[in-house]
Amino acid sequence: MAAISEPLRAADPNEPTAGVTPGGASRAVGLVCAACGARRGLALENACPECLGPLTVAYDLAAVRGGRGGRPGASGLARYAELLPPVADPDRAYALEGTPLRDAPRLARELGIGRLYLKDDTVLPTGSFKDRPAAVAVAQAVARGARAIGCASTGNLAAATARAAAREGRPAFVFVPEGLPAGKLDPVRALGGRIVEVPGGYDRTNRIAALAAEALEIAFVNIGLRPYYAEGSKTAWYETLDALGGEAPDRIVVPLGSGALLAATGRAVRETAALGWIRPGSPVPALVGSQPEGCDPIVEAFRLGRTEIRPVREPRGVAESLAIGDPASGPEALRAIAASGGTADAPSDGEVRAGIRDLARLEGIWVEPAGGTVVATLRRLARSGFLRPQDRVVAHLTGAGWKAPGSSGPRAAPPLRLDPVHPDFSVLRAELDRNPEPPAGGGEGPW
Amino acid sequence: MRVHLASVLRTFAPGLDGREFPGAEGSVAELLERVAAAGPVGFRARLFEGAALRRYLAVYIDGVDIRFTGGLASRVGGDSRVDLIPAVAGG
Ligand SMILES: Cc1ncc(COP(=O)(O)O)c(C=O)c1O
Ligand SMILES: [Zn+2]
Repeated sequence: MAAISEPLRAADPNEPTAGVTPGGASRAVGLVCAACGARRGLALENACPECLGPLTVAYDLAAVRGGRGGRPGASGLARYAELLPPVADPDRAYALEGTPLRDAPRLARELGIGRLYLKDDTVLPTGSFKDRPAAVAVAQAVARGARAIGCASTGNLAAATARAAAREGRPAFVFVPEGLPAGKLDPVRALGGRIVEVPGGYDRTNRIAALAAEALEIAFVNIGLRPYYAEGSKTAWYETLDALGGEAPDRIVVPLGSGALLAATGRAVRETAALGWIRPGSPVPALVGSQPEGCDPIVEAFRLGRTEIRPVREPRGVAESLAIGDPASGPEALRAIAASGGTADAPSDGEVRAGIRDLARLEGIWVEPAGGTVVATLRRLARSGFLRPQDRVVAHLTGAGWKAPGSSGPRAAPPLRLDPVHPDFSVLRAELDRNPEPPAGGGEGPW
Repeated sequence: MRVHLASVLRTFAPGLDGREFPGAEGSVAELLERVAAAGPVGFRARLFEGAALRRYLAVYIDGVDIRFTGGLASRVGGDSRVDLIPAVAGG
């Protein structure tokens, strides 16, 4: 605790460090309960002692110095250290490069959306956006003297946690449901993480991890450190807004697992609005949550106008990374969607698989099913009219295709076989001729 | 029935974690009233809002969320394990 509370002290002008930003740039002032409003210090707590509600980090926004691009001279997540939990050396602790916001004109045209931007977190080091919250949570764990790091994961947080722990020389214990694909587990092994399997689905894994967090000296990034962990996911929005020059989009489409990414996006939008980082006159973005049909407790609550979320006992379907039947941040996500004038949508497995193929075919990006879920929702909401032809839309691609190979649907055609001595090119020629016309005037060739 | 409390609850009722509540089968409501009565003054309000369970408290009987088994009316057997965990812990 000393490591945290010390840098947060008000600066004493007689100290040699006076003038150095406390907490290594962070403007965090405490935790606040989203349910009852109770204020706490920046303690190691994941639930409000008064009401057990979720705690989130509060900031002194009036003290923020950086503009839309964050701290001058800093790079990656460290640019936004003022709006992240305090650490002594943010440039080291938050050394994770930002990701591109890609214009997607071919997909936009096919779907009938005015302008579509893809926040491409598939390029992060372990292939998913989870590198963001894992970096922030592990930095807290280390600052608070944790000897071992842990997580409960549907698959992607596992590698992200193992990576962040490896950089700090700490062992990582990743709790996962039984039977995850190699794309999720191989990186964990390579990064030196210890895999702990729990039979049954993610919710069981999560409960066992919560018991482990009580019984063992392991700092679980998304359990004990959850308020800090969740802050990492805000950074995707800061980067997006900067890439758009402060012109907020009309809609932001986000996949929902526990709901933490969407809830964090909502907080980040509010912060940037309060900071004046959003250009005057640009829209207040509506948040759209996307969850697969086989596990859609947040979407169902939204549709029925409920404020409480009924858990799904047995999540099904191809989108394993989103298969959280009892979403811990579901109520916050639900409130953020409603407050922004957004909506929630749940495509079928077939639509999710088609979404993966559409994105690959039109924009050359290979995503795991969380991305297919988002693309499927884009198609469905363009059809329903919620995404309009004049809209500027940002969609989050949160996981790379290699994390869950084999998810894109019906097997592709088998490879063509050619005789190594007397190759017969007629089949190949027939396939070529089935393809679109060459450009007018023909190409140059022979190639 | 053995009751396990997450640390955020344990701080308000030291000594209750892992406590055995002997007795035959009953409802979760009855068990939690006994747990509340065994804690210090005011501890009941950590578990209940009036007659209802607190919104952000998750209760598991032998690993199963009571929202799947009938809520406070769910039955708890004599040798059940009951876990009280904040609903926001994880995911
Ligand atoms: C690829 C991917 N996208 C989205 C999510 C959902 O994130 P959250 O749990 O923050 O809602 C997950 C996580 O579980 C994930 O692995
Ligand atoms: Zn509270």
